[in-house]
Amino acid sequence: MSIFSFFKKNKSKEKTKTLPQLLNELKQSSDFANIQFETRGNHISIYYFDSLIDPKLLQQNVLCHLQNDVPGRSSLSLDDLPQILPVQRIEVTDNVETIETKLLKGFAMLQLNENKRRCVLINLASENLGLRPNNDSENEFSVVGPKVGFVENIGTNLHLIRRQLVTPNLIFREMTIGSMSKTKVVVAYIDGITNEQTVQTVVQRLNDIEFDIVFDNSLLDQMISDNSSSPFPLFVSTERIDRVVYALVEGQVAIFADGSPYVITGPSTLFHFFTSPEDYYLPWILGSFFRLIRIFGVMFSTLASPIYVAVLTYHYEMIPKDLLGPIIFSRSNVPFPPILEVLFLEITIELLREAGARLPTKVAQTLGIVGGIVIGQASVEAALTSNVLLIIVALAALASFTTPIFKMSNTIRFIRFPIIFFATFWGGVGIVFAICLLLIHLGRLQSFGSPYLVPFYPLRRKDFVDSLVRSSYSGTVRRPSYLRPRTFWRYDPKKAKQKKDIDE
Amino acid sequence: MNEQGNERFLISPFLVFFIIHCSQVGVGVLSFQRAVMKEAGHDSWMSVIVASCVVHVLIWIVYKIFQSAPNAEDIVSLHAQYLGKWLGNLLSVLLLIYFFLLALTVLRTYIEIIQVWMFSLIGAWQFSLIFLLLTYYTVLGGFRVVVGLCFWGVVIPLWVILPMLFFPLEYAHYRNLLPIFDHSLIDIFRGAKAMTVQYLGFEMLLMYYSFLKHPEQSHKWAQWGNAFTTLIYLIVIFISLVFYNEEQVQHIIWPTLTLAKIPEVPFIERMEYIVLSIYVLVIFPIICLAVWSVSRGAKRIFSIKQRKSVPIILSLLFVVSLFIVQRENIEKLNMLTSKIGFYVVIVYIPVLYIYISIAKRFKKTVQQ
Repeated sequence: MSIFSFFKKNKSKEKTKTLPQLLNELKQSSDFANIQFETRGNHISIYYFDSLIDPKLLQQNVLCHLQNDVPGRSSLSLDDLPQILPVQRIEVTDNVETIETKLLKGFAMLQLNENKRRCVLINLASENLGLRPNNDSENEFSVVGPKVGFVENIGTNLHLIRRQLVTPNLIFREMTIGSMSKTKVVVAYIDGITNEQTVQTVVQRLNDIEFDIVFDNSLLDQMISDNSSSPFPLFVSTERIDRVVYALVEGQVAIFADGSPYVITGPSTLFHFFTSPEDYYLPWILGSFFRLIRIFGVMFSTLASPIYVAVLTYHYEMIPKDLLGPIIFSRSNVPFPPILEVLFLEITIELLREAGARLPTKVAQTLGIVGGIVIGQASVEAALTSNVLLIIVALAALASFTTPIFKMSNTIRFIRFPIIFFATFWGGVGIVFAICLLLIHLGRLQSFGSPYLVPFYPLRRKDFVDSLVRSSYSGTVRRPSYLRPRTFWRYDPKKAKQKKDIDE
Repeated sequence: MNEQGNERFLISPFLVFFIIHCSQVGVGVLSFQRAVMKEAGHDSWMSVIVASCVVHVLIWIVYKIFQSAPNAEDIVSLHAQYLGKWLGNLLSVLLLIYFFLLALTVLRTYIEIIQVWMFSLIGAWQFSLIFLLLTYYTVLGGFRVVVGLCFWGVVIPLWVILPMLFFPLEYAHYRNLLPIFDHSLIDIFRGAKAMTVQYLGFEMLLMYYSFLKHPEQSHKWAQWGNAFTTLIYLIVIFISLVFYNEEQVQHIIWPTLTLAKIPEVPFIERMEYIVLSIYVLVIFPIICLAVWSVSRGAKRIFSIKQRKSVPIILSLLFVVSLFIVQRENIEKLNMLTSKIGFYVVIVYIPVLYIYISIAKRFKKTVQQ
């Protein structure tokens, strides 16, 4: 008990900090600046963090007006200052806590005539200093469609969303997370569409977060996820505006965090991770085709090398006569069992990927070519692996890159390895064991309380219009039912479905 | 399920289709031809239909039982209400032992098939261990996850295994089916008796009935599930009849698997390996469902937490499966389970229904 009382005392002490104490504390830092001058008998002192404010704003909006306008007035009090200074956010306060947080956010504190209790806080923060002005969404590229992505500044991001969703129902709910970073986090949703319970869950989980610094939105993603010990991402995180807007219109919730160019949207299903905005920009037949290709790619990527291991270790009877020749020819020199061969190549590919991601772009390109061609060819010639396997592993790697969401492609990279081991131990049966395990795991997952495998399990026939395939826009009038939206229709279904008769 | 009926744990009525179908089609479909054709020969398909009709009626009776006793959540409370605490619980325990046997039989038979067809040297314990670990993970997820597995256990094999069965039609002799009605009615009924065993598994409905969201609506789906099982069995028996000679089948232990050897595509041979592998998805939901039923029943009778009872049941399954080694023993286990199952569904369920309706009428007259 004594320990707790100690903490309590400490806390209450902090609360009763006075303004001089605060200033003394801040003065320890060399970038805490202080300007003092007199205009017409008024002693003015301004305190601010040199590193946080924009000096131009200070000169133009504060110093200039104080020196030019004040002499013309007969008397000057603190409450007059908001009228004199042309700054949008300005407030008079005597609350020490507010003063502390505002000073640390880039406000300047102005004191008049040594009035030690009250002061004026003026917003002079330089919002965009050191942040990039735009993002070409290179990590989630699409050939067709807008290429503007989110940036690190949350103000810009909210602006981008509001510009496309011109409705008073778009609600932003702000909160502050992180005891050190005091990061501004915004929950966005469309009132009247999004299920209230979902919004409540999101807000509740965000409020429950206890953490010091929010480096990126992905930290929040992990902390609010329903199951933190799953390799599968439970929420889509994207830097594309169209994706977020589409999610909001569907009835999902979006979470923005200051300092992060990625936005979390949820509740998500497994299929959200394999949809690309391009599916919607292309005609629906092409969009569906490429989506199917992508899903096939995922299956191929996870199962190709395990099947190779299973067949060559246990079920070589399955190889037809005509295919047996080439396989024997290419494997005859390889002294390893299939599992070692596969692990060697898979790990090589993972190394190449990892090195490519860590190196500067120009070096990475060269490395990719050197690694891909030279190591591959050389390892075949050195009889470390077979040609057939080289093709399979390369294709599997290629297929895993088709996943539009980076987090998911990481997961696919990962889950291949356990399946390879299952295949080594129990052959084909082992692979199906692993598939079972995956299906059970996916069946148990939830994203903000809604099932992850929808529309397959629980089966929702109507939600299939936009899952494996992307139906035409006359088919996608209904919002998906697993989100339990408050209104189901996205646009007038009758007009969208209207069909004219021949020659009419 | 508790009185408040927490809707989160309930399942949609149409999912009963998948549960019923999934729990009926198990290892039996690989080998049932021999037993049926021994009795009914090339008229076996009639036996399949007759047995199916009987099971349709039995499902109807199960639903009737629960409708006439609306207070009962599942078979355990039903027993307790109508037969008293001691006798009722005794019967419930016997039923649970039967479910346990069901899981054991399916597990051991499948492992035997793997040992014979794929891995002749591998120890049975490896497969039962990994099976039971997976079962543990599934059952911990609750009934919804088990039902999800049932769903996949129907959908995936349907797309992968069923098409392969049609390849042997290339060598079919359709005249094998003629003459129709070559066997006496008694033969056909004998075949139907052998066939009824293949429909076992639906009786687990007695345990999970309270987990259905709108039980009355689910009745239709349960019947459809059984009808779909019949369709699968009919397809298999039809293909076996036209492909095999009547005498030949008697010498093949797993005729369906032999059928799967026939298809040939340019890049894969020996399709039966794929069928056997995918068959994990057929077997696995049955084991999960049975283990779930046993643990659920144990919870209702002895109020043991399912988290505690599931590991006990699974380790028991593991240990017992270690001791059943010889082919004859596995055959004996199969015979025993199917005999018990046969009497459970054919005798016990109708008798229970009659008893309950009489008891109810009796109660009414007493009250009047």
